[in-house]
Amino acid sequence: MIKSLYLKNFTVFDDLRIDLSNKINIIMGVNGTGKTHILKVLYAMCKANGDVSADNNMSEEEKRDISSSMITGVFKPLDGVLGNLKKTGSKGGNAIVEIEYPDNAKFGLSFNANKQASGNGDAIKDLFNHTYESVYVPIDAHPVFIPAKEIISFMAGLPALVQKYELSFDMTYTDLMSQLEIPAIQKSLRTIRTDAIMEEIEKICVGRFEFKGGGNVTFKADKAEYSANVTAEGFRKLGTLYRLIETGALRPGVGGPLFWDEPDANLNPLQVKGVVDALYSLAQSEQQVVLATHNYNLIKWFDLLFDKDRGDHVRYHVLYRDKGVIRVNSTDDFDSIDPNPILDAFSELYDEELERYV
Amino acid sequence: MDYIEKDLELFPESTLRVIKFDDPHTHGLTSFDMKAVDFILEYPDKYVYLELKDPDSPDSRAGGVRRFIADYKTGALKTKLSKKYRDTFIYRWAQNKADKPIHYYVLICWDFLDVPKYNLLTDSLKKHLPRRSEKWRRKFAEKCVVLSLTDWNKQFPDCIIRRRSLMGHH
Repeated sequence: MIKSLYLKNFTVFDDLRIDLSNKINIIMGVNGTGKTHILKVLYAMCKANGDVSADNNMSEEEKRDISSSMITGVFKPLDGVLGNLKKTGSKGGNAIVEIEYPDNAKFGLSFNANKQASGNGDAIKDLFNHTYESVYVPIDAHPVFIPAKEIISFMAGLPALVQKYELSFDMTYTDLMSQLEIPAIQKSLRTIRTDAIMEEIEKICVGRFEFKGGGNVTFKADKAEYSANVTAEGFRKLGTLYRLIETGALRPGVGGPLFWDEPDANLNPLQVKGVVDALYSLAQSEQQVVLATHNYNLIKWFDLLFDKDRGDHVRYHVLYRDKGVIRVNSTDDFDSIDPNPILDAFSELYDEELERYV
Repeated sequence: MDYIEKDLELFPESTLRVIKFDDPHTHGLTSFDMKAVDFILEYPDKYVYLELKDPDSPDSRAGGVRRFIADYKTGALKTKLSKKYRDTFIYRWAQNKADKPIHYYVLICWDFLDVPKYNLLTDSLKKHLPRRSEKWRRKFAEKCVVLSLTDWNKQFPDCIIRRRSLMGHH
């Protein structure tokens, strides 16, 4: 679980701090305000911290190499150089990326725009990890990242290719593939709640996906079996969530945060409620969720299904440009989301319709 | 007693107390710049403030729609609706009748509106009220809904609203 993120001179951000809910976080903003970057950097740092904290005998050089490779792995900067992720034209020192945990332990790094560093680890000016002694991050606590484009339909043969060749997929895709490919965990390691989520997903999809290994995925409904590719993209997204629970990659209360980029993309509006229900259910089991969205339908369902009595908590984070600088407004109250780019976009749509009505 | 607002008429069950609130002969505040919602419904566990907007009224069809659109486009609609709520709240508070949760319903009879638009209007109005604040100990409005006549009648079968012109009244 991550308490906050601080970014300075990193990609599109000058100076930004986001305080996260320990349950559900929704990142909103118009294109170009860095929603996906927020998700990716949180994922990379969470993952890097997990790896460097797990081995106290790791050398400083190894820690820097791992940390750097996590960030360049998810962002895929030009020429794979970490320095290219420093904000162009930024002043005031190095780029800084830092995450903070609930017990105030921090993990962060800083780097400059050095493009000449021989290995990316060299580009890191300062790597600070105050979790070495104070917090042991369990190996299981790996985060999960679900990208906007579902991967089930093009996984066949990909795991082998990725091992051998330099492909253009960023680490979020290859990590997810690995998490889908591993065998299912013992049912006793799942909970009643996660089993209920899996049952609900099977009901919505009217079937389930079968992972045969090597990236081969089929879909079983009644007594028939189909190629995953002929199923609806929305079902493949839900199937991804199902499989992550099945393999134990997603283990509420045990594993790391879930990051989901545009969970609503290509999802039938009728299925959005099911996704929101599943996410609330995961959050009730202490799963931290951070998602990015443009979709009014999705945020509205979060508002409508919110139940304070069962411990629900949602924080809305709006990224917006203020004189060229990206800032964030965070609120726990749906009515207080300001600015509200999603509402504004729908307002604009209906204003146009109104002009035509007149 | 009749509960009539131009072409719309309320038919509350006998057990439900309804007040025609926006009546200058009774509220005594015409010399002040205070606005009022059209009706108040008094339930055992809540008050419902009801404001009726009727662009589809046969009395003023084209004019009604034009005025409504003008108010909507300029933002005057949200301002008027939230002022009606706030002023009504103050009046009722002074009467010692702010002791129950208050639900604010704005009924807009206009064929242009559909479910997504009603949702949008609801969210826009909620931002304008406001309903609550982290620093407040009570909610200013328990609920705030903009809805159609059909949805009002579904949610409030004990206070059906009908169009008088369709019942043969003029």
